[in-house]
Amino acid sequence: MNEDLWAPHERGRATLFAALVMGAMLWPLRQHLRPAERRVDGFPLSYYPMFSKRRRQHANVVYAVGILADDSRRRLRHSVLGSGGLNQVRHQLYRVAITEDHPQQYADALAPRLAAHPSCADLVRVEIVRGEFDLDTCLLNHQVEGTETVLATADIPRDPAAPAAPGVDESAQRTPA
Amino acid sequence: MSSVRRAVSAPAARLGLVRALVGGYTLVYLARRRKMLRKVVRTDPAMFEPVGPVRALRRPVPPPVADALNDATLVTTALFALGAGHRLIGPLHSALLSWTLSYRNSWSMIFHSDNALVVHTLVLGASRAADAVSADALLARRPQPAAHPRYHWPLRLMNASSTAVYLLSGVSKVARADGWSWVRGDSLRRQIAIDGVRKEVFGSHASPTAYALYRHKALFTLFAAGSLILELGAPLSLLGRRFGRLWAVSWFGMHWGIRVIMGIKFRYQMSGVAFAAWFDVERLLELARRTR
Repeated sequence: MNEDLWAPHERGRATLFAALVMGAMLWPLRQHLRPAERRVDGFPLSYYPMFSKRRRQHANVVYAVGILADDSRRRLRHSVLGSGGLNQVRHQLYRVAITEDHPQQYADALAPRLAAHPSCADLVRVEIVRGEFDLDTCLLNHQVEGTETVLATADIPRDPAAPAAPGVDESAQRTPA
Repeated sequence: MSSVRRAVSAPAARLGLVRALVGGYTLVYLARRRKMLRKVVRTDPAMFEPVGPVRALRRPVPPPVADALNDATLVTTALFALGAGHRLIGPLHSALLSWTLSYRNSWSMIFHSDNALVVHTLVLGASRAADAVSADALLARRPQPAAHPRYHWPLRLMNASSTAVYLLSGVSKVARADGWSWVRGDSLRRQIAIDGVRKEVFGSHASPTAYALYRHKALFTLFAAGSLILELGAPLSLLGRRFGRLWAVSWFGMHWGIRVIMGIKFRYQMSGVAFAAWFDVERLLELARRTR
């Protein structure tokens, strides 16, 4: 075969494939024609919704706080709450606590797991809170402090014989493993 | 060979080396995340929100099956990088990678940084990307094929798909209700701020650069305008090779800028591999040969 030549149908197949790939890549643009609440993101085809969100000076974040015996408070690291990285844990917590409105379920499932976590040995209670932050104040003062509203609270069982929260088992927890 | 034909041709080694680079990157990326993936697939099934091809599932597959698929992806990644059995491995690897990364993104959070990698792999898997710089070529002991358009279109398509990613990001910014106001930089500045606050409340740390730059509003107008030009003007990068390379270098710089200011790592882009298709990477092979 002359190396300079295309194989039969090779060029046609390449053209079709390229058109399909580019069509698929641009297909998510149609999401912008839908009302915001009906837009659906996907993978690997996305319309990159994080850039369409309106960002205001005040922002709410839902997170978990550990309470010590002396009532002092410590924000819990994402890796203690679940796997998959900070953003995945944050999304999952938001989904359970806000979208599904079950913050207590999250706290109840989290508490026994914190009991088993070495870095949380000093905690007596866990709270799921919604913090409201003034972004300018936080960033300009280099201090991330906001107004917290407690959405749910759960005591951390310290008795080794204490059972895990109802409905929670190691393989299917309401918080990520 | 006519000048037009030359302009739409590429050496097989260029496409082969791009395949090896993308495969090599994927291998390191997945191997370093093997443990994490094993944990992610054991997340509460209630968190399952399938995306991409995984939407075919109503509920997660049993964790051992997910583990096996992850490991199979690692194996095909290695073979893909080596260019072994490419006619079979190429499409199989792109299917498995799409599945594995979609499955990883099916737990209530989509990581958009992997989009380009999946599409690039799909293109490489469907093309003759192992005619050179591959185990297949080595075993066949055939001479290196002449430059041909069949080695050029996959590279162009990879570049076009990268361009689409940036274009879509740019459109998303200006398609909001307040439209072009994104260019003022307030949204970008606040996006960086909220990202920093989230990091702090989840026990990580906001980038020191975010704190340092936050007071300089004009700088964010500059960043926002610059990124919008690079994103909405992305299709222009396909007009000429030099222009394309300039764009690719600018995107590369933009991702490193995001890393410094927001602490967000777009690993594929920051590694430079995402932009390899814009360059005559086969020259690296000649350079290596000469220095040997």
